[in-house]
Amino acid sequence: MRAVQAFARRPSVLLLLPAFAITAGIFAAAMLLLFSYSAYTFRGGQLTEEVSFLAWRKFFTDPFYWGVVGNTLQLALGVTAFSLLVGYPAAYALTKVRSQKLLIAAYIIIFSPLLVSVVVRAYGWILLLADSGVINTALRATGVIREPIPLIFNNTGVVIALVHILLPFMIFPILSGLLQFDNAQREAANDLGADRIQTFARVVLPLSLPGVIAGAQIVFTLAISAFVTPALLGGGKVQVLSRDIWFNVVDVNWPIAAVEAIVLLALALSALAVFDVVGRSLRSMRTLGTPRPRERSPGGPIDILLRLALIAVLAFMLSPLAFIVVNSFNSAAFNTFPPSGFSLRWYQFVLSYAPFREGMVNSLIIAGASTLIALAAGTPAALALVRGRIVGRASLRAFFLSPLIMPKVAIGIAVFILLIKLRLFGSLGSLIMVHSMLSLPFCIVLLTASLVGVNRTQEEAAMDLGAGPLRTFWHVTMPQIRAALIVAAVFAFITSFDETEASIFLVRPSNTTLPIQMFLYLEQYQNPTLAALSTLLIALTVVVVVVGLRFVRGAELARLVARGRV
Amino acid sequence: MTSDTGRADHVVELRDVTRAFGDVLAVDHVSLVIQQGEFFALLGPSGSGKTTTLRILAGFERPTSGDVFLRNKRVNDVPPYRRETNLVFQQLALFPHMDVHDNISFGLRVKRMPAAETRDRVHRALELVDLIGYDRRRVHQLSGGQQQRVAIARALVNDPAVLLLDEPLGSLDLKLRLQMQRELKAMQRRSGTTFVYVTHDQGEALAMADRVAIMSDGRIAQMGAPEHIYSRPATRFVAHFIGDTNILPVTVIGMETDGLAVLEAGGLRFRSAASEVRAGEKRHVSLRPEKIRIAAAGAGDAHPGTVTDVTFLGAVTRYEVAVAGDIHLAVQAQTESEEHFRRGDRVLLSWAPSAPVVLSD
Repeated sequence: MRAVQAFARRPSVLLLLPAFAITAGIFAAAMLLLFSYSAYTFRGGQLTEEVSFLAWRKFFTDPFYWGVVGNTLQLALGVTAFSLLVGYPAAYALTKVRSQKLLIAAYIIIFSPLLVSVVVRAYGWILLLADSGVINTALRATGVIREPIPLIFNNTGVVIALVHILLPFMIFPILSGLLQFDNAQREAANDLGADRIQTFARVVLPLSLPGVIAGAQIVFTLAISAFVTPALLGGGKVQVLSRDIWFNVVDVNWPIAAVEAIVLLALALSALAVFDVVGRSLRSMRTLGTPRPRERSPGGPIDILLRLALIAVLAFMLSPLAFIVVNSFNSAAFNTFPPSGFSLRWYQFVLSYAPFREGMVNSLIIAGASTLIALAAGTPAALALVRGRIVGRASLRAFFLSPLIMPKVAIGIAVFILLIKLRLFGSLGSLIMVHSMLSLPFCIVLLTASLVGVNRTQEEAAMDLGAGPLRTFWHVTMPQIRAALIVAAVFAFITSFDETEASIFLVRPSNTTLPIQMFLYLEQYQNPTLAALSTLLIALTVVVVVVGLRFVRGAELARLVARGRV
Repeated sequence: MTSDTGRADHVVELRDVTRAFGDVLAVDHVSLVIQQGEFFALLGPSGSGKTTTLRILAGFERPTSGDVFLRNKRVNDVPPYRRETNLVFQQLALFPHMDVHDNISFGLRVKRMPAAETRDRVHRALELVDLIGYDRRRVHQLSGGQQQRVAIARALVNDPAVLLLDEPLGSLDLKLRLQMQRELKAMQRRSGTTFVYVTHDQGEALAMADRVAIMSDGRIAQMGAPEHIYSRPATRFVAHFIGDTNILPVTVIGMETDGLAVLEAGGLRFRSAASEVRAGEKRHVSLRPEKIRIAAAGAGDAHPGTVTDVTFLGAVTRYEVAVAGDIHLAVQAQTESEEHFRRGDRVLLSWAPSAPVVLSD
């Protein structure tokens, strides 16, 4: 009874409680623990809880670590620069596509790799870039080269694969900025005597800079903390912070791993801050009045070049996935191209290989359960954030979203230490909770964006007609945010199902999830088994997305995407 | 002079211009000539083709057929950035990433005009639109009226052969709009530039323009001085669109010896100074409410009626009067006049033979 009264007085507090418990209890607690562990001592292969700051001293005095930081930043800068170079023309070309069907196909091709596990994509790039891979084989067959070009196990391969993974994050903000562009601005520049190139350089490009900054910000932040891609495509030769953290965790040198995680976090936050400052100085660039879209393009050689660039980018996005599917039917026992014959033996092997089967079961359980928890905690929290009278709404929202900006590797080691402390390490339940925590920010972002669009008056009308808060939510609010709920569920499920970079710290190799089984397998073996498994996973992803989106109308989805940009 | 040039002293000429969007003719065989220094208004409801006509002049639309001449040169194939026209956009389209100075000097800079001359011309443009001292303001720090002036200065500074304005006052509130109308007219006089002004607001067109072309369904319904169009509307559309009027279907009864036509509408019989009518014809006439005198009693050619509605509009009062044969006439009288009427009052209506204008459709 008292709970009901409390709810009547401060309903927001109760609504926020589950999400707050998850974020504070797992994320914040783990991060605090990480900080304390960075002060502890690792001496002679032994970890003691003696405060010495030895790890900090070692990190800042040993040139090895400076080299790792330097290479991490250099790699991230390279990835950001190439993503921009490739992504801008692609985004610009997309604004010129007139056919709705082609446009949707292009969007799907560009964004679909996001739905496929990083392990799968890294594997696809290994198929393409290896010495006996598709590219080197093709170049040798045509006589362009005699010796294979080393495209893999060096920075080149890592940059290519990371650009592939992060390109959607670059294209999307640039594209949405360009779509907001008011065509009257272009006409005004033309009218005042500027030709196409002058108009682009003086008006279109400067006005699209906020999108460029936003894209670069996301890409850079994700690139410095990437783990799976540098680990698999670097082949031990590419030293980055995330990979060093992993080695130190394996070596039980937690203090230095904690220091590295904190440095990584600091780098990510500084990058975010720097890009924010630059972005803020561009704030004044918003267009006055309602933008009018472009009706048609003048055509000519510029348009042909842009179209070719777009086709090249689409081919780039699709190729690793395409070659995975092709290679899964390869009869040879190692990755060759072209395939030496047709065979289904790798599918038979995948289905009979126990670690994959167990990993699959674990992954499905974890993804299903964590999706339900994230939605159950995220929906009331979003409702309270949008509707409730809350003190410090902005900081609360920032708190809920903070796991998004943390490098996954840092979260992984922090939660790892927390679970060891709580003696919960290795349990399925703990992984479910961690994945809920990782999915929760997405759910809150999507649901708050959608709830903002729900007309308050309709809820008031329902209450006026006698519906209580729960019935109002169920009959009036929920139907209107259905699309967001479904998209959030699909997103949470896939996030959890593909999660590798944090989870790899949290599982025992004997009882683990599917992507981690794949990661471990890929570190040791190079045969088409993974191609078969990846093909099955791509098919599964397609099914999940198609089934999920069957329940969402296109218009709702478009609205969600438009509002989802922060 | 070769056949593809227009006549001298014409700044703008459209010769039989048509613009089709699919099956729809947005502009349908339009011909018009605009003189140097004229303030010309294209007036019409939305969808009448006035904006398309303006965009054909600016070069953003190409005519499907017909020719466009600017200063006697055929410009059909000249892109907007090589035309001597400048457009003040409906949404202004000021560049948000530039300040006032950079917006105004944009056209001069892309033409690589020397810095000293650019400075001079920007200064004069700022002077013309009364924004001296605002050069370094960001455009979103300006009020709506000030943004408006920047947009005008940005176009005028290029010294265009024609300044094109696409409903530039549409986003302003009424009071500011009236003020900007006066200022625009003054700017036009001071700069001596030819203005082509698109609007759907008849008051705006009548107040500013030397000449008005009224557009409907892609065609020019009537073109001429505002006073002429107002007092001698050619069609029912024009009569309705410009000002308030009574449209009556009439039958031509016959012609009198003094040249006046006798017309009959329902039970109402009156005379009109129309020349091009034949007896027995069925036509429409426009009778402006303010041309009708309303009185309690009178002599001569007066029509009895009953007041059915009274609307007080400030300086004038509008009456609705039922007259013979179920005809309702709107009548407008000065509020300050001696006689006032109420609903149900019996009144007499009268008008001069010059008041009813026989329309062509």
